[in-house]
Amino acid sequence: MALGSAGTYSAWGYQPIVNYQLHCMGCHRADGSGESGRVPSIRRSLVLFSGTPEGREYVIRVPGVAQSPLSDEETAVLLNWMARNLSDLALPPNFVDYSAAEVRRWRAQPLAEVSVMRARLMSAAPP
Amino acid sequence: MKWLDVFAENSARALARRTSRRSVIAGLGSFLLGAAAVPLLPVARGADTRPRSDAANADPGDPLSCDYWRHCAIDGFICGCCGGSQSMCPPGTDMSAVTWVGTCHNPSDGLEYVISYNDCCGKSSCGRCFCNRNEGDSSLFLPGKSNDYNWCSGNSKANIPYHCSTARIVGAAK
Repeated sequence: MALGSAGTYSAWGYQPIVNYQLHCMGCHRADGSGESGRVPSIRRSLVLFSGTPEGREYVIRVPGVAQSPLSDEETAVLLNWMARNLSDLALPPNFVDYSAAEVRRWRAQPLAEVSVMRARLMSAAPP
Repeated sequence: MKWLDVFAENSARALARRTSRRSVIAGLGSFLLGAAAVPLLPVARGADTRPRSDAANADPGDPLSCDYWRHCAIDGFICGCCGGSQSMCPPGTDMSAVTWVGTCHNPSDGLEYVISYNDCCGKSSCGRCFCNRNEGDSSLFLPGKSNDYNWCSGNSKANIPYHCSTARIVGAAK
């Protein structure tokens, strides 16, 4: 994905790391590890889930992503930055970057049963 | 031991020929002045925790004031007035891990900084230096953008009371 200059993906002109700090870090913490029992860690799940269509749909439909004030483009760039910078798992060679169109499609259907779907995806994921 | 007496006498006479009494006083004066200057070195000043309001300082203003630049989106009691500081919780309280994050304008360099308003939890409300500026604050239906929440509720020690709020710099917003 071509990131281009900052102006192409942000109304505020912020880099992905600053968008993470402003829109995600408050709950997921600076390293994405979350708060046990309250805020899920993204350090394994994001890259794991990104490997399947159902997992990618989940990632975009969770409340923090679907309802963030960021644009579709900014959100896609931010997710790709998170997969590369806040993951304990190495990015698989066949990793597909999130696109603005993909974000636009799934964020229109925010997830109500977040915990249920996450548990199902985690049980299906490889150990 | 006669040689020692001769040596001492010759040394003293040589010293007396080479130096004046005034030079001794001047040297002593320089030493005393130098010793007095030692406490001005950065070692001693580093321990001085008084806030500075120097405009050239990177962190201008009084951290105990509601007008302090980092407090632009705070809603609560300023921890500096409660035994802590703008980045540390008072003794007996725990810093919440989840928090409300915003940006503030630093007047000294003209840049925006990401500020994290971590609440300090575990004691009843501090009650001093209440500050509620709310710049960029959103309604409760945008939880991540609202400072009206009690962020202590997200702490691992569940349902513990709110005491005060810090205002920690995360980094430059760019």
